[in-house]
Amino acid sequence: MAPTVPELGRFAEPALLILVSLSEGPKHGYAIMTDVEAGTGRPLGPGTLYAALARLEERGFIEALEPVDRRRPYRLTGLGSTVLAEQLLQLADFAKLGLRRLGDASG
Amino acid sequence: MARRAALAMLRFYPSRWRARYEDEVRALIEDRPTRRRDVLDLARGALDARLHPPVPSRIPAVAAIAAGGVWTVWSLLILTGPAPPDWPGYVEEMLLSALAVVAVLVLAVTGAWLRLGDDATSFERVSISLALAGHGAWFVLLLAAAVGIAYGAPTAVASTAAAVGTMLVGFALMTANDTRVGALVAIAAVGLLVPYTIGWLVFGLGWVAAGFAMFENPRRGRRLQSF
Repeated sequence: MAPTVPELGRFAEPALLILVSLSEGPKHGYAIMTDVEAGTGRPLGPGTLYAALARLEERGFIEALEPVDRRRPYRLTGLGSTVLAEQLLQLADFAKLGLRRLGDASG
Repeated sequence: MARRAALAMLRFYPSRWRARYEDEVRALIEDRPTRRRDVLDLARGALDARLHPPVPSRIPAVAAIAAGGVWTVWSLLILTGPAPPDWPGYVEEMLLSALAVVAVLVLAVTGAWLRLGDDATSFERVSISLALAGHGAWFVLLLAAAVGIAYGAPTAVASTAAAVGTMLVGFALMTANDTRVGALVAIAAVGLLVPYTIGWLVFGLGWVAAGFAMFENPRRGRRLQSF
């Protein structure tokens, strides 16, 4: 099982991080980058961020709001919430499986 | 320095992308410290934006129709004309057209493959690699023939590799639910493997039909439509 947003290739992981970031409310690019870096300890480059944002927007998982100055916030759509929930449940199942096996091995 | 380079990278994005995202990316770059890896990241992003635009380019479809059309006309002329007197006969006459067709077909086959979207499988990568290597070698060998260096078995091997790679691209598209375009690309490729002029006609007509199919349905295959 691949714990990724489906069908996004190398952008699957950044896309998942962006969806998680937007799950607490609308954010613009800079805020998403800061949030992802704070949460994962890994920086998200601007090229990767916008390649992933464009894909998520194209698939209807997020939508752009009116820009404030030159910053445009994005928010999760209903479809995006559903996809994110499915992905996180899959990840949780995967984590449970791994922990159970680890417990079996050490116990 | 890095910031200036990062801002300069935005010029390499397609105009449609720049119209939509440039202002906000520019603001983002100006608002935070820029690292050298951001410049590389933007360079990769620019390449990605050109290869995977939200609105797919029409260039591969036009390339398929143009190359297939020229090849079809040549095939008809050969089929309906008198038999060539001796080797290389008509082959020599059509060398320059063949060179142009092979070069343009690189755009067509690449565009067809890009319809597969982001997460290409190993099989899909192998298929496009073989198709591009075959077309590249085919082009170089035709060029060698055009300047009188050689023509013969290596050209046949190269065109066969191009055809097999293209056929695999067609199969990959078919398995990715892009059935119509995939089938037409595969049929065109099989035509090139047939050692008779009728096969050439199939090759030309197949590409023309694939080009029109790409025009009619410019969206990429499975990965966009699966949600």
